[in-house]
Amino acid sequence: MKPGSIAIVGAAETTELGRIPHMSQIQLHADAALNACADAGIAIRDIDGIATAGESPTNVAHYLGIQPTWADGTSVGGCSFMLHVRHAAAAINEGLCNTVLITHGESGRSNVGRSAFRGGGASTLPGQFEAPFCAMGPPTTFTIPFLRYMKDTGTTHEQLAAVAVVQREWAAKNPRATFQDPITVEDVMEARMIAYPFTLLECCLVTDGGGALILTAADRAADFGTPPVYIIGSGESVETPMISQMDDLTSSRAFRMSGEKAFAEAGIHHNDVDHLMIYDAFAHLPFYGLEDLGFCKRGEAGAFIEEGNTRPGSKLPLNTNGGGLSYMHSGMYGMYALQESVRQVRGVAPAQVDDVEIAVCHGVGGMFAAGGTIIMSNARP
Amino acid sequence: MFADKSKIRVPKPTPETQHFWDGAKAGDLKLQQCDDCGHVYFPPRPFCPSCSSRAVSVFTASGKATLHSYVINQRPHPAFDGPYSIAVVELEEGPRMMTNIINADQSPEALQLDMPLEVVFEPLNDEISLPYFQPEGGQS
Repeated sequence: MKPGSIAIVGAAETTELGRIPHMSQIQLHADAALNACADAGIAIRDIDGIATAGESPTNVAHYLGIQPTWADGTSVGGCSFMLHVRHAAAAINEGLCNTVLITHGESGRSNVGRSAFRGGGASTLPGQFEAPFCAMGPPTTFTIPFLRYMKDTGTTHEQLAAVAVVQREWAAKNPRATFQDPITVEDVMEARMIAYPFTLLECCLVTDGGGALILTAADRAADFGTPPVYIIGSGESVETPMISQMDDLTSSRAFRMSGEKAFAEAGIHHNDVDHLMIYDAFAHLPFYGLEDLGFCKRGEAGAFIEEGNTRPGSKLPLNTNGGGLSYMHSGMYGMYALQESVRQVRGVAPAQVDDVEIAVCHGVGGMFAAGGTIIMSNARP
Repeated sequence: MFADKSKIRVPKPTPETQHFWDGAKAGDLKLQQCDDCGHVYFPPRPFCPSCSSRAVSVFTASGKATLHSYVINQRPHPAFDGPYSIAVVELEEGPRMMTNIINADQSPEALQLDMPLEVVFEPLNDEISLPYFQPEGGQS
């Protein structure tokens, strides 16, 4: 994309987060969309582009009463919204639409009006070559690569636990976080084992919620009621629908390709980054993100987090909303990572970091199946 | 180890994968190799994922592998009588595949990364046998 040509001018989550049994999934999309419109100071009728995942853009457009000239249903898992931002930037720059709404809503916990689980059928490749071995969803699939990573890098169980501990420190500052009480490395390691080597506190939450973003051309951004958050770099890639078929179980190719593209577009170095979000479906994801995006050398992310380099007051604040481990995780968490990046760049986050100018927001889709990276700034390059 | 194999999701072969499942039923682990570039690959496709050539051949693999990575699922699954491993093994010929490690204690002590394994097929029904792996030489 053209760095700085597009801005986020509206951003909001659902009014409630957590357990929302009185709202269906499509209503979670709508609640977030209406909140984002209010944030931007516009009405739904001002929207002419729609992108979403988990629901079809047709469902969301019809439910909200949007008559779009552009629709994107890219659905590659929880980082789909990073890809939507990127695709929306291209669409706006190409003149396909002017004002894009990106929505997420998921009744992940209460399961109200949720679209059918999209697990592949028995004749798909995952259905033939992974499903028969009885993985029970992400906790027993997304976690499989980590013993290999531990052995190859010397990373320890304590370092994995430290990810959950540090993110809880951030969550303690956030009244909307699901879990706010402090925890120790011992607490994490002694929690109920879910799938060795992962305990319960190293696995993400399962909650209800949603979020929405509104994007437009940077030249129009001053017409809205919010301080513009400029998109200065973006990247995306996909690798494999089968975790067993990753090129390398200790590194995500999709992360590397997405991150490299985003940093090149933005023309920034890692030490320019004031704030970082890395989608943490499980506690090992920040290790992969830190290394595959180039913040840490291979095998050094465990010590980097354990030594406190991402905690409150540190040089690289990471997952400052508490992350999927402590804030919330409806299923496709990428939207909440983007929301926190926007809040931090605007300077309005509950656990606000001082002087954030450049924020990197990185998401995973599926189980190391996809990656998406968005770099934001409050200064137009 | 297994409590009720009828609770396992039965794979449904496609024209491109039928040779693999025919091999499994006969007790052979089938892989494919590119006739042009020599790349050995899995899962099955009628072309080479490395160089795109359609000139590929099916061959019987050695069945030898090493334990590349795994988890031990602690949550109950009706197909198993207790915690069980879900593993990725690296075949001697190079490709990796998902499986369960059977005929071994389902513990971190018994399941050491890079330990040698061998394929063992277990029938699910008259048509489908699944490729499992056990410690080389049988029961550990």
